Amino acid sequence: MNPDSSIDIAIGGLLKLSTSTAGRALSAEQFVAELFEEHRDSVYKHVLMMLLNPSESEDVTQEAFLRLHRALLEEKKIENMKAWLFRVAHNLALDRMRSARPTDSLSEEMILNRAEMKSASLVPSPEQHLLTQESLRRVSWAVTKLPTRQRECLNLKAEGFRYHEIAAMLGIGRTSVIEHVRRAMSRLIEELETYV
Amino acid sequence: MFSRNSSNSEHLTDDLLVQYLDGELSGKRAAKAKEHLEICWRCRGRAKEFEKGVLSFLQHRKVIVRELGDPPGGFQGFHARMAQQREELLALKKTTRALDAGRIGKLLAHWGVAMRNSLLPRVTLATATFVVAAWMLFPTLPHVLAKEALKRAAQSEERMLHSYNSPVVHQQITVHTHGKQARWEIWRAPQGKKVRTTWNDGEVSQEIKGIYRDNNLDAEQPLSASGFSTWRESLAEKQDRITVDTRQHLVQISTEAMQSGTGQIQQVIFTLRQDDWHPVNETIYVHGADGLPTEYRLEETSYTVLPLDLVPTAVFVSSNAGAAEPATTSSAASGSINAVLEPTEARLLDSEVKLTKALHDVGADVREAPAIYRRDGEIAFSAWTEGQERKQQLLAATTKLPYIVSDIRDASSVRASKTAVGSALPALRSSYPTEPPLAKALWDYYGSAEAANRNLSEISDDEQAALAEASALSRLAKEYPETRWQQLPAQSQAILNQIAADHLAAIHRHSAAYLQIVSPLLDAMLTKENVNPEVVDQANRCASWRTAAPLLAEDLPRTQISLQRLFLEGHVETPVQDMSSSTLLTESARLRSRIRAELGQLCTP
Repeated sequence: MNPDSSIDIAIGGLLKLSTSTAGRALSAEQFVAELFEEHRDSVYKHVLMMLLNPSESEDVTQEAFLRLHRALLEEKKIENMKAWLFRVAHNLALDRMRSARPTDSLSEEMILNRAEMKSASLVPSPEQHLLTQESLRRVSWAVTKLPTRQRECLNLKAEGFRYHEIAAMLGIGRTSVIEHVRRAMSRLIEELETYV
Repeated sequence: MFSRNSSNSEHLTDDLLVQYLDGELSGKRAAKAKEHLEICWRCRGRAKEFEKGVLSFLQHRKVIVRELGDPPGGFQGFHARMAQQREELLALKKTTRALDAGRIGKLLAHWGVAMRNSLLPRVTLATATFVVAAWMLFPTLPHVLAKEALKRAAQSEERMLHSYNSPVVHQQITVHTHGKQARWEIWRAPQGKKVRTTWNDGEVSQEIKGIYRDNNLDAEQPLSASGFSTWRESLAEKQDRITVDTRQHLVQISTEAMQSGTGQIQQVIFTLRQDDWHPVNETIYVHGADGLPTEYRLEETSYTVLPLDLVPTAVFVSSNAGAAEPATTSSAASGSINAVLEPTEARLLDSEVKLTKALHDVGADVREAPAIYRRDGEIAFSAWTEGQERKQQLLAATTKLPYIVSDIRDASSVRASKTAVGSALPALRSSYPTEPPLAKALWDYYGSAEAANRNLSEISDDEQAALAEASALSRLAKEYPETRWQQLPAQSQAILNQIAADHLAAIHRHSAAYLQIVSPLLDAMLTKENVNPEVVDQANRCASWRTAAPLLAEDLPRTQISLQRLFLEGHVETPVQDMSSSTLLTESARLRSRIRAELGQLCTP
């Protein structure tokens, strides 16, 4: 009997998000490898948006998937893997930020400057017509000034999570999530209106 | 759900609007909100504002992500990290299985005693059974916990003590600290509460005693699982970490104590042997007055449990029953305990020869072929025995000798964990099929295949016996090359010559029987095949056993191989270029001649 077979897990039912792996029995390693290919960019973006630098964000992303791999090998039951992954990545990023050197996290000025420079060179899409260079600068400014929780909620919403998932990830109530999203949106609208 | 405005008409609240736009409202409420938005300009306008806010946020995200760019490492190395993680976790998991298979080990040990077969089938059976049983019984176990590992270690200690009615523990430890080494020897009879400890360094001895006293550790039982557990349990706050060294088969428990008083132990790294959970190493970090930790590394050099009647009587002479009195003894104080006399080269040589003789007297030099070597001013010997009984026999034969550190392991009680992780058994060597040219001729010679096989078995048995004796003599010869031999006093040389004489007698006896069967067969085949090798028998002149024995030990197996190639179907380990009967017969005849010559040279010293 091959001892390695113990890490085989039946994926069907465990996972909601990955259609490519559902219903098949894969080794934990194969499974995480597939999941990694599919979701690493979103996790990376999320961590990046928490103002961690790219190198740290990359490391945190890998670490989050490794934690998932470990959890599967230890046969832990995970209901919603995507939510689980984001939560782990989120917490890892927070840990890194707490112990970060100044170069590990990005300053608000840095983001604003970069955003401003970048927005000048963007080829505008139809939606982007709505936003002038100045409005983008203002929104970016407003975003960086949002309370962390509100920014976290917006980022997770942008990743397509439902309110109850965000609530579970952040360890808060669903109503609080709604409140955070509402306040954040109100703040951004206010900023846009001021400019107009 | 709706807010009431000044004109008393109902509008959607921002909360509701956000939930509606995010698709988070239930069917009924969503339908009501949608209906309202269709008729209410104000709410539709507010919804548009929210949409604009969402768009602006997404745009902001896009810009940030684009600006900061892709991960600098391109996510390289993830798969390697994952593979490494898997290996580590599997290794840990297997160790855990091995850990919980103690009861199976017991069962196997029982079988080992019951079986009277050779070591190989016993170990193989034990291994196979263990692997299957451990896998079936413990497919999913939690990680090894420090507590659990220590429990196993304590049980192992207990088991060893229960080997005898009146057990005595003899433990030798080297303490490394302050850049020097100190030797600590403990004789402990748990039942009679007798203890005798000796040190060769009073300063280190005082320090260690102070540390043990201040931290509620038992100085009479250093490097013991129960002692470490007692200290660990006494900590209000601690942090454990377990690491498994799969290469060296060690389990390391590191316990960090959250205390910082001067003289208090800050951290202990306790190392257990994975084979039998016996502690072999303990590193203690103690808080110094200057805030810096001092390291004390306790390394066990020997641990033996033996019955009281085998312990030299002088050991417990100075200690009173019921009142353990560890004494830092000097050479003079040690009296008749040879072990504490200063180990001069002459004493060590003498002791080594006595050890060789003691092992020879119980046949260990042929059966177990123990390795004898020098280590830290002591003579160490290591051997694997087939069972506990044999182990005790070797211990009994050697325990009274001074400066001896033994490492005897009982193969039947070794758990199969090493095999389970795939590292104990060497990979099979490749083998090559042979087509023996004279198999049929052999049957004809003996009259039948059965008779041929019977005779071949006899040849093999005698050859093996002669080879085992020749190998033992050869090892002895290599232990004492000319320069070393000359350093030995005449008395020691006489002892070794006597050992050699015993081996020689056995070699001549078995070789004669061997040659008696092989020679007529070989001559008949040479005639039949019309092969006339030019073999000149060398003149027999007595030579030193120290030069002749190694040659014989090399030639005996060669003869056996050439006979095997001639008559036996099967496999050989080296490729054969020319398997013709004439070549093989010539080779065999030449080897026979050499063996005769070598035997002729091996005169009784």
